[in-house]
Amino acid sequence: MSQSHDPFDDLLRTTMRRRPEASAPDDLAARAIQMAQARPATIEPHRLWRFRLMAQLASLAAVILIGVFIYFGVRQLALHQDLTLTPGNTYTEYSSATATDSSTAASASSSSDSSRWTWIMMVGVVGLTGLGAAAAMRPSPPFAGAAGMARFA
Amino acid sequence: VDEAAVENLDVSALRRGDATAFACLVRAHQRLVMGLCQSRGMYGPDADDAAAEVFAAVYRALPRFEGRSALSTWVYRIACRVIAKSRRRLRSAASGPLDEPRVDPQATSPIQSAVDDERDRLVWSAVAQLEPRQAMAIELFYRRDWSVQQVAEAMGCPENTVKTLLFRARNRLKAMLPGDIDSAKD
Repeated sequence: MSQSHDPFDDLLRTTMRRRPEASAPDDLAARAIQMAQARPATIEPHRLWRFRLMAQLASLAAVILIGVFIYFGVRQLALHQDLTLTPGNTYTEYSSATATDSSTAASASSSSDSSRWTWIMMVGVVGLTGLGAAAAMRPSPPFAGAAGMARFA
Repeated sequence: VDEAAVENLDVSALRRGDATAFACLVRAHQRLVMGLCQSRGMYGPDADDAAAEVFAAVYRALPRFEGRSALSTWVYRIACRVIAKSRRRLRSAASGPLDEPRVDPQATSPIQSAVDDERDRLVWSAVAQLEPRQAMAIELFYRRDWSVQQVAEAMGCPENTVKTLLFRARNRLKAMLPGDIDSAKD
């Protein structure tokens, strides 16, 4: 590559070589040592382990708390709409008893849909909570930065 | 790199944190580290600070140096990484003053010399605006005349990556510089 006859290549080589060298400060080594000793090079393993454990516990607690909040929120919503959370019990008795009243039948059908959606939401919340918990318990990815910092001097 | 100084370095003393051995290591590598700072558009105190950071990182990492690669290659690998980080921190670094070009004794006339100086400044300034890895590849390959293999070892990447970096850097420089810049030299 250095033997090429591309004029631009030659120009680049000539120009870069003509660049004056920057002078380094006389006390560069002393400054570097001072800088290196000013802060710890690595996070000690036990501190890193404790930091990682605390972060995982905090993530797990946050995920559980969010799950609980959502669960009670949905439950409150269901109670206010007078819905049951038991699958299958979808107002059939109520709707058959008042079959002649078309408006009540429509209301029952809508309640049945709500119940189904409540269940879908519940499953979603439980699933997401499980996924969140699993992610929080995974050892490295969220803390790769800290581990990397410990490796890097 | 001062080859003789590098050969005389006592790696075990360096690992122990011996200040004298470390000062030798700094002397042996400071020219190249300062050159890398220049190529990233860092001058004066900014370049001094970046170089000190590089050697501080080297000092901290020395106890873990296993000797799997040459000491200078290892130092330059750290330098490439630390300088790229320092450069990101310095937002206004590229606006710093460029070096004064050397007076070329072979210049045929003052006008030719002025044209050469201007061209040099343009090229150095354009190199400082390249992406970090491209600028480092240009610095090591063209200014220090390292082989592609040596550049690849220092940058910790395959040779083909270095070739690609050089190819892209050349294209980018061609686009940044005036079209007649290589004819100005003749």
